[in-house]
Amino acid sequence: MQGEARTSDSTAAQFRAMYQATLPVVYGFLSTRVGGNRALAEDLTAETYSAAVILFKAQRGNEVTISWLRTVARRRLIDHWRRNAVATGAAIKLVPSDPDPADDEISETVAWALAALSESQRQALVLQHIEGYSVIEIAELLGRSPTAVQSLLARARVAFRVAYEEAEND
Amino acid sequence: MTERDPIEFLPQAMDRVEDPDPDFAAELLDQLLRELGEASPDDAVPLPSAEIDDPVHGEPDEQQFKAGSTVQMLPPIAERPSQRPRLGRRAGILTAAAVALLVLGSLAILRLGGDDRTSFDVTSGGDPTAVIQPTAEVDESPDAVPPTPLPTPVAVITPEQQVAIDFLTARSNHDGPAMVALLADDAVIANDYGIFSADDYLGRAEFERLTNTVISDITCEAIPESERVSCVYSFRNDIGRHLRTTPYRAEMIVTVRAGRIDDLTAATDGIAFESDIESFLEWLGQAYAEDFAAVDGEPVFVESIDMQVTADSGAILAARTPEFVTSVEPPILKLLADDPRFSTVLEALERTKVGDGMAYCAIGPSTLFAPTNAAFDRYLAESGGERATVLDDAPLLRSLIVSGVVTMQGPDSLAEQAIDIETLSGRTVTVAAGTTPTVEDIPTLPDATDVAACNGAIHGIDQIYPIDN
Repeated sequence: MQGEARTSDSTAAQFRAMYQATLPVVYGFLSTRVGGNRALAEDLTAETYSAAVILFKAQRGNEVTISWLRTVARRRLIDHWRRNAVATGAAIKLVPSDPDPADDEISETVAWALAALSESQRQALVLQHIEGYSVIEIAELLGRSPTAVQSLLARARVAFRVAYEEAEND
Repeated sequence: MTERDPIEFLPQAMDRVEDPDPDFAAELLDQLLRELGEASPDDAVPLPSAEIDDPVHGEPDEQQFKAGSTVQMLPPIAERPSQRPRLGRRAGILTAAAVALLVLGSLAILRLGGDDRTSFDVTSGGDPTAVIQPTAEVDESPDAVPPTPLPTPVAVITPEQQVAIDFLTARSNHDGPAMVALLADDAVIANDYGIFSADDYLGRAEFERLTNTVISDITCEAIPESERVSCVYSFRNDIGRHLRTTPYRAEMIVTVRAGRIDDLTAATDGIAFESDIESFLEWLGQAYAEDFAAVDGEPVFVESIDMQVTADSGAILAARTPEFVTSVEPPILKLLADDPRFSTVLEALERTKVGDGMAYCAIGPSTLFAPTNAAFDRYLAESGGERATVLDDAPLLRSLIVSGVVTMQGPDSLAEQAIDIETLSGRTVTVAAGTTPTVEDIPTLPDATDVAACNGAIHGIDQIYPIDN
């Protein structure tokens, strides 16, 4: 019967509670890593919570933790980067929606500086310095040679330092 | 302008909290709730556990959200004012803090309530089945006598939990063969430092025995309706004891089938452990690179914490540890804590987070011209400020501190030629050598000059210097 088939109100309430409590964390996690690209961050956020829906449908909602959501978000992000690995050569400037680091929060400045990098540079920095991947792992993920990744990382560090300094001085 | 390498700040972006556009948040919630209501639980395809594990860098987190525990405390996102700034930094931070507090609160309740979460303390040398006890303070000294178990065993533990506990107990006992025996023949070690195959636990057990590694504060949680178990625990070893960065916190997640571990992921919490190991390997690479040339007949790179800990390399690592702990000093922040004359600057460094980059060997180098407590007291008397007020004034405190911090460049020693250096505040100052070294004509304290740390140096001064405006 349809009434029995539908998810219970309590499950929906639990899902809503989980969503409301975790959304800023998940969205912030993704937004920072994609340089403030709002559309992409929203897409990946939606994909992340869709995975959570599957667990809730399976009556396994209690397995959805902040850690779990971050793990799924990371996988979705890396999947996205892997899919787009071929097209990462271009220097794409992604300006965050609010680039004013007026409150002197270092994390804001970092996010701003990350957003000023090209997509490939940002990917490399995030994967190595935030996610802790090795050069070889990054090379596998992005479909590049380890030497190319080393070179990319070197350029990314220089560009990040310049962008960070600019953000600080603005 | 800062001389500190901004790359150091990158990890701080990890936990950045940001509210999405309210319309997006509301629309997504509506869509997800529709998806949730579209099929019965029986129709759903459960997400396989393996699919949600990060095969390389699984990042277990003690902060577990429990549905229903926070909903009443947070306003529905869809009802928030639409004119709210998209990047509401303060609000985001407050929301994150609230979420964190509530989550921790629910965790505390869970721990008190029992359920399937159980706390254990496993001490080296004990019988794996007899030393289960509530968490107790652990004596860090290698020679410490294992504490007497407290007579309050509480929990009902699942068979899967027991296997995880047995595995950590074997690790605590440095019993490599017992660890290997608990792993399935085709077990997948998805992520565990230095471990690439089950047999590597033999090498690590030996390394941990020789470095007096102690496992404690084990809390294992069976993940409901699965064969997975998550254990959080602390561990200490001689390296961390010396650098004063222990206890390290860590988490291990295992899948247990038929009484053996099918897959295992482990990670430490924070950067302390990785920083210490990186420092150790860096020192080793400089001092004893030849040790590794012959391991397994091939050169082994020692700059990565991912280096495989085989029986051979584990023994080499352990053999060099005693020399490492006598050759390398603790980081700046830990050394400051040793000298009561610098307790105020230490507190200021911690409050302003300027000291974050001085707490670990792997971050730096930094040079700190550290004002004494007496210098701070004189500053307070002259400025008419109150200690509590000044220590709560982050911008003022930063201006008092960062002027004395030099990062990413010397001098480690003042007994060299006079040089101009730029401080963290961007101000250029002159450091002069001589019988009494000075910085901008302020003499450094004879008994607190050139205090070497693994991540830089400390030079004590008896003035607040220089005061930036």
